[in-house]
Amino acid sequence: MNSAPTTLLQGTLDLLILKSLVASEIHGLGISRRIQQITGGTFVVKPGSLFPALHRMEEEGWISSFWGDSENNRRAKYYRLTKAGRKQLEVETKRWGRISWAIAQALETP
Amino acid sequence: MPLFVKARSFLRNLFLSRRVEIDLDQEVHSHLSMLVEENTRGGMSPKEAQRAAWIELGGIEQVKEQVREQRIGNWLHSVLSDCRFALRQLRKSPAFAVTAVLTLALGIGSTTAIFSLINGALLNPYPYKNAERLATFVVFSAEQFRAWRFPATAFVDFKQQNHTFDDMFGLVYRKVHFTRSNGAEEFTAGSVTPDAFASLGIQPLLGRPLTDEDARPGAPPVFVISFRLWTNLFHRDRNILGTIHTLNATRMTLVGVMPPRFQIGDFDLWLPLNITKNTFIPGAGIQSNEIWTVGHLKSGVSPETAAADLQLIAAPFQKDDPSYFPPHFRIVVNTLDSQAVGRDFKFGLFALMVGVTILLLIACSNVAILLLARATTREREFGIRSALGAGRLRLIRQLLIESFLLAITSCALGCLFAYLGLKTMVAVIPPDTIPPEAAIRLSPAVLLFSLCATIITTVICGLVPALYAHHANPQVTHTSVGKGVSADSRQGSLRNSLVVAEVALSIVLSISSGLIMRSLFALQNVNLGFNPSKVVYADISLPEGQYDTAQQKHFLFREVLNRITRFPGVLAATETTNFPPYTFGWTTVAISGQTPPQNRNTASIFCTEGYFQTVGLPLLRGALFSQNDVDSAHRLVVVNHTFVRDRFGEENPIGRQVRFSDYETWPDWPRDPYFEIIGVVADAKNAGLQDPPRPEVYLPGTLAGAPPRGLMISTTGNPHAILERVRTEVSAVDPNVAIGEAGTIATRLDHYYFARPRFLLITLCTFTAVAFLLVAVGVFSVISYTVAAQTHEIGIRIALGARATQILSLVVKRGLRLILAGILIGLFASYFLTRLLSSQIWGVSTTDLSTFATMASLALFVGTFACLVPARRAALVEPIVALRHE
Repeated sequence: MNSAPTTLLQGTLDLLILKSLVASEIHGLGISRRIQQITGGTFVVKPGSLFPALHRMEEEGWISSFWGDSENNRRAKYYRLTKAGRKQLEVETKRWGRISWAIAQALETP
Repeated sequence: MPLFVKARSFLRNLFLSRRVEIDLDQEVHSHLSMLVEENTRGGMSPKEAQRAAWIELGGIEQVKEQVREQRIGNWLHSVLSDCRFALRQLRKSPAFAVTAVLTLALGIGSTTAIFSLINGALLNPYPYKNAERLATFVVFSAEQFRAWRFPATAFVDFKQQNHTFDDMFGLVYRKVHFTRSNGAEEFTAGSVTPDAFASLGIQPLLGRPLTDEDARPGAPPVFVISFRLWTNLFHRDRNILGTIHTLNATRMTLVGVMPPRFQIGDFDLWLPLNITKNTFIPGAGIQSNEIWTVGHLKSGVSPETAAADLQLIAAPFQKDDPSYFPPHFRIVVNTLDSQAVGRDFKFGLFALMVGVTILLLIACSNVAILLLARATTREREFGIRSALGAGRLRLIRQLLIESFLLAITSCALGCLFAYLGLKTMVAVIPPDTIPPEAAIRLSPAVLLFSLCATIITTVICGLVPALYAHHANPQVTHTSVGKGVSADSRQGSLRNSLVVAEVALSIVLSISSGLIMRSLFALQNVNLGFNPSKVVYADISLPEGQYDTAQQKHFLFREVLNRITRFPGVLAATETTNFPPYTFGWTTVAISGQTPPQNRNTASIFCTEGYFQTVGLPLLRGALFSQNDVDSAHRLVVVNHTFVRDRFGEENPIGRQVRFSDYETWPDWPRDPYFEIIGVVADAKNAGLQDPPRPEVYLPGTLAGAPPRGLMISTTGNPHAILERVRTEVSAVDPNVAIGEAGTIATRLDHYYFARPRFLLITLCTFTAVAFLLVAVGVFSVISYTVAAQTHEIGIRIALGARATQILSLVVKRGLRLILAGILIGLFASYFLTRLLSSQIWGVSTTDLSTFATMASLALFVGTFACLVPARRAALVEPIVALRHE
């Protein structure tokens, strides 16, 4: 939270959310915190971006949701990856690989 | 699979939106409380934890809104909510909504009804194959119309030698005496060459059409009937095919029933006809001519080309048949479409079309006024919305949706109005004005057109607030509107000119209907010399063979007349070949000692001695013929005043000899062709109600057997009772004699002379009333808008000591300025435009001062009244309330 958050590219957010759901099913706050953790605090996802993205992805069929109890026995909405979501993750990962390679190439060119 | 998920989400968002919302609400709340918990665990105080959580979340409603915008089907959702909002807005101002919807619906309804009528009656009246190429032709002599039916020899040559027609068939008009077990009736029959059925391309409803086989000499006699006769006489009995009936004393088999829209010639039934050069057509040669010819023009051939073609064929006929083809004759080809509606009524329909267009214009400008006024009052609302971040497109969409709601509601109501209006018009349209084939239906194209007109008006006017909202500085809008000064100047001039235009248009419309009303009154007040509702007429249909000679006819008529004159209440009765006010027989009268005239310009009536008393014709000079003169067929003639003036001038006509060369071909015409003038009577209407009387001669009916005739009775009693007794007496004398068309002369006048102008008048008056109503609404809304916008100013004036009457006159004056401007423009326009109506107007000048004055004062009255209501409201403004208005 103390590092300056980088503006998330559209599409990157989807990739990060999908990635954060690979290990286990978690709730919204968990996703936000996990993204912060796995990006070393570079990306802080605010609820104003997170929730619209979650709902959009759920409507796309990449993730599904259910109500469960949190670690502190609080009712929370959990999200899990669907089969389509895993496929989407592969697609997005490949695309990200291409983009970052291309950008790296571009930057390395003298 | 994902598609299925998407569809499910879409439907859930749409139909289970409450559940989706609750779910979202719970999720955001649970997120918030988890954040608080996290912060507390991190060592913050509860208050601080709460604050930090709120900051991170950034507002529950905002998050929820962001989610909503992401949802599938969000656009539909927001459109629906815009619709709900628009409905709420309209419900909040029901007077505006109802007025706008009714105004538009009236406009759409009347336009669609009139244009559908024109489409059905004028543009596409006939159901026949290639109906637009169907044509017929007539002959004109150098000066006047001569003939529209031709002898068989001419027909055969036309048919065989022309190069411009695909086909050609002939029809001969006949009266058919239909004898049934319970008495006799008269119908009209068309003897038709059987190729007509194939040419017109219409299959019978039942049975078969007539064939060439039927027309062959010696073939068993058959006929087909119209749908009308099938309904009226046979009550749509499907078993009548093959039954045998007695027509003109011949037994004939009924072989077919034609569908409702097959009405060629408007006949009750059709008989087969074979036309060769030697064809003898019974009953032909009397006043009327013979074969009416109809055919399809070859594709791409103009009527003029066809006329030139026929003219070449007809050139040799001039020698043999000068009565049909006079010297310097000329053939004119007309398409049936162009003649579907009589010239006068066609013009009347166009007048209605113009009237209804004016109405539509008024309706549209009224709605424009309403929407513009509303736009100004909503400037503030839109200022606030755009200040709160509503995008321009979003505002436009909102307005479009509002306008569409208005337009669509009006369209639905307009369709209903059009349907009802058309139904009423078809019910009241005068008989014989549109072809019987015409089917008047709502025309989809017309409906579409007027719907588009309304939608465009509504949408354009409805968008005005969006235009202002987008360039309005929210700050300025916020503070200035309500004082009404700036608001008025911007669209004020547009609104004012719309009101002026409305008033002007309504003046044009009302003056036109006023003139038609005056002319109908003038027509109804034409003095016939007798009371038309007290004179009964009856056409008599005689069975063939029994009453062919003048003596046979006269024997019957004399017997009937003797019985009738004995009824109480009968003043006089006569046998006559004609009923007023139009004389159908026209002839050439040569006076011995003068050069014979070229034209058949003299009306002739064959009658008995009672005629003059029956129609109240006073004798001016000499004597009338007596019963003995009639019974003995003396060669005497009574002439009218115009005849004497035209032919004798100051000379004394009594005792002069005249001859009727047109009639001398009749077999029973007297050998000595000279007749003696014995008397002069006053003029009576004989060329219709409108035209001045033409020269006319009266001859004893016993001179010729050929012309068909009827009875005319003048009574003091109940004419219908008399008519019933006439029917009884006629069938008592001979049960095989039938009564054809019958009634009082008043019903005849109504049918032939008053029905059309009355139809025009009723329709135009309805339009005028609606137009005035709309104008009142327009003036009212403009003035009340101005008053509302100036409450502040009025309050100051009252506070400074202005009296109520001064405020009242201030407001009324403003309204009157607009109304007077409209009236002046309207009067000026009418002065030039009413000339176009001159064919519909009779007995009154097209610039009739009293009509102009009446309509102008009516408009002034309506307009002032519409101003007074808002003016009164202004005068009663409480200064304190007005000043607090901000």
